[in-house]
Amino acid sequence: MINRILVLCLFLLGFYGLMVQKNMVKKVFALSIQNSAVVLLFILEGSRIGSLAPIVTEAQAAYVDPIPQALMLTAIVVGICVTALALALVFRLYKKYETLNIEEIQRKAIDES
Amino acid sequence: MIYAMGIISIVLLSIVLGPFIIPDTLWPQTARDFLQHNGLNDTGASNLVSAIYLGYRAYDTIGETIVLLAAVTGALYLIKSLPMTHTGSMESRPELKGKTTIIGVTTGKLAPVVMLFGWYVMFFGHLSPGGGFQGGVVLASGMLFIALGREGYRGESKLNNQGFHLIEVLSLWFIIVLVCIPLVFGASILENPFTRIDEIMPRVIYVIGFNMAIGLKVASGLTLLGLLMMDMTHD
Repeated sequence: MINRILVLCLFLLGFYGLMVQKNMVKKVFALSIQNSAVVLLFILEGSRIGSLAPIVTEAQAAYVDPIPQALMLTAIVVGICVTALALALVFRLYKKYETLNIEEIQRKAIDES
Repeated sequence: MIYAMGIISIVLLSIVLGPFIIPDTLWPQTARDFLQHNGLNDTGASNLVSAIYLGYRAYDTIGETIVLLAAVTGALYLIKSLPMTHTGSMESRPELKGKTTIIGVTTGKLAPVVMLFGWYVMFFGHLSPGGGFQGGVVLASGMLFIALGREGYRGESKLNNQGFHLIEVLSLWFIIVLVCIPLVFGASILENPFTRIDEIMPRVIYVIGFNMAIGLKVASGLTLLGLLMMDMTHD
């Protein structure tokens, strides 16, 4: 129960950072935090029906569910890709406007056009 | 103002998401039991996570490597297409303020061990916790250790972007060949081909080959991303 509430809080924290922070690098961090919260939730759900690593041995044992783990393997790689691409975009915007503040970038972009 | 908006939005979002996350409904066991009984026979990998992402759901893995390729390509384009103000490549930089004892000792002594562990994780991904993605990430971190420690010796370093481009493309071709191999043996695409020919080759070879290809691809892609971001000059 308490661990689920903590995962929810982590997700909401990432969402709050994504909305409120003006620094674009911090927005990317917030996306990464949200991704981590989703990964934690899936791993937590899959480990409800067992406690051993899902590696088949002779003895029948209570493994964790391997499907959420395989899903989260994909989610972690996609999260890394999203973070890398977002950081490259942030770098590009920083080179053009020489600030990381998203409101200043908006203002400068409106001034230019 | 924006803080109030943020607080209101997380309250609303918690009302939406709370009923999904909080309750303790029973997690179904049927999929786990099916995999426990059939996974080893169907795919040849005793690590059930490997059995899923290289056997049952191998299409997902192909898509995932393509997502990684797209991310690397996009980041390369976004960074390299800038007019470079400062080419910090060949000449040794006069100030070596990043070169401390910690970095020297860590990169020199630890990087080979980390890379060896990465190869272990890749090769034994079907038997132990690990696999292509994890081993590739460990291998990439070993190579980034070396890249961190070579500051000032970049001209002599053999670790350059062109080599990683080549490894990335070659491992993509390796993956495509592995996808097409089952057609030669009369199996359907992405099916383990060595279940059709009896006991000439152990069927786990297919899983190991896939792990190696994916590991090399992930390692070269992530090392490329790391090298790109280390080449960014902050001014």
